[in-house]
Amino acid sequence: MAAGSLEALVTVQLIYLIAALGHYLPLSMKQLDIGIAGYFAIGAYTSAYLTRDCDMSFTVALLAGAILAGAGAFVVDALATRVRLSGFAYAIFSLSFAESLRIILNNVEALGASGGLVGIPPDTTLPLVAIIAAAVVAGFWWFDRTRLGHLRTAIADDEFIVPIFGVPLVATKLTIFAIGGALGGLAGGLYSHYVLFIRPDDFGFALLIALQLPMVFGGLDRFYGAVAGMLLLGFIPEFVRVLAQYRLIVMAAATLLVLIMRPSGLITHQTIAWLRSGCRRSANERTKVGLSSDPSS
Amino acid sequence: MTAPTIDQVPALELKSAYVKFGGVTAVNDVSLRIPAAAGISAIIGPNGAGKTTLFNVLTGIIRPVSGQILIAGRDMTGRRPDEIFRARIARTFQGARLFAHLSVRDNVRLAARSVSAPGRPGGPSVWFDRHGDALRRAERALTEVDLPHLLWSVWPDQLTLLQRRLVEIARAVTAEPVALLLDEPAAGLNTAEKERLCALLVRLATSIGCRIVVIEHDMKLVMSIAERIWVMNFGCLLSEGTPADIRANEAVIEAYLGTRSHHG
Repeated sequence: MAAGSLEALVTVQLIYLIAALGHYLPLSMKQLDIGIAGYFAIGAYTSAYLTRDCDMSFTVALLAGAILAGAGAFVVDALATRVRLSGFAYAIFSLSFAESLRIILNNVEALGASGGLVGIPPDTTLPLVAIIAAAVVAGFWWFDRTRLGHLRTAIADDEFIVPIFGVPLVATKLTIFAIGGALGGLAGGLYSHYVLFIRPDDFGFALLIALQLPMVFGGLDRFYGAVAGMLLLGFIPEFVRVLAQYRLIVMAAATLLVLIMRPSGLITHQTIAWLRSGCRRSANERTKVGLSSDPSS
Repeated sequence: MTAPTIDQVPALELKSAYVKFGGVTAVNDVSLRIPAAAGISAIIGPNGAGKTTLFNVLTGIIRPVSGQILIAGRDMTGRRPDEIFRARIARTFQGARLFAHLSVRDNVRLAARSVSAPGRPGGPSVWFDRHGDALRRAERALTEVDLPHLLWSVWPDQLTLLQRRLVEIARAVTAEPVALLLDEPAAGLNTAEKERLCALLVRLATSIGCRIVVIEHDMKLVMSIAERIWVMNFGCLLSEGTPADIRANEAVIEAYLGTRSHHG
């Protein structure tokens, strides 16, 4: 990827934003699902293989990749739930999924093994990515107002009491995880058709860090924290030329600084309420705004 | 055996339940019949007697080692908490646990949608449902508990303790429960608030026609509103009866009321 080109930068950052939002879903429910790099890889390889070797249309391949990645997330999380993994054990489990997948991909000749997959049709364009990213962000805004979105908030607040109100907790969580995985897969598909050459090592730990760090920086309280983090940390180091080559150091330092000064991230729901109403009755205002745009009220 | 008539079938019945946490027996051979007739019952007992654990067993959070749970005569042993809620057993928690990032109305609506939407309850059809009557039910429940309309769209952290308790009760009431289990609803309230709560509970029992079971430490409150009282101690059901029976019961006085009289 030519990092110097602004278009390439924006495209890749927007693709990362889609994946990061997919990663945000489990993370916001306090479930550290590190498998995102794996779901990204599933999407990238599936759509690349289907268009390159099976002559499928880009749209179909992209959707197939997203669905397969969503199914992957569903299976991983169903297994983890089955044996009641949580916290660190769960994180390690999902990480081992992503790493195993990477090692498997390194050995599958049909997918180019460690040499990588070349000759992927260049179907991803900046306008397409921008439209999809905008749709995903709008989708998140809408999602927070649906029942499933309310359930996600409730699970994040107090998972223990959610089933007491008639909610099948496991099914709900798996659905949200699968949506997250599918977004990761969608981003992966867009990525492979943009960079045109993928190898298993593109989907390792570095990708995870590139997705997760900005989110912690931006704040996990609401999805716009993740969006803001992605945009700020993705672009600022690139525009300040001096910093460009120290990108990772700048990202880490900025995140550390934010964590020390604002433990819940740069942007929280209070920040938005504060921006809207000027310091007073912050939570109140924010709720009213949320309710007035609720489709079912 | 002939089937008992509707009046005789208890709303909720527990048959010889055992719960063990490691070496401790938290619930020891407890059998409980919560009648379906509208009214208020109470469970009392010292801290650590197993009262909340009993609620957790009744609502499916804890599976008893042995024992049986029947809801309106139907065997619900080993069912998940969400299935028990949809069988119309609702509860509240110690310390008013509301979802902090949902508005009051959405807190109540979350529960209302589990029972109101068309399709399989709790299934995918309700996840994006817009046509259920959940909102109406939620607002009816909030009216039922007398929560001012102004507070419906605020977040729980802006409410007083009593108001949070009312929201919790409203959230449980949306299920149109046959049995409503309240875990220490009056803890931390002042006298005036307690009186308001008592009046509400008495009114709710008749207006929604359900059996309310409260866990409570305030003896005066319990004796004034409950028509039937269970006393627990060390995981066992010590005694059961009307307030007058309980006051006169030697074992209860020794285990619970007696320890209170030492203080005062």
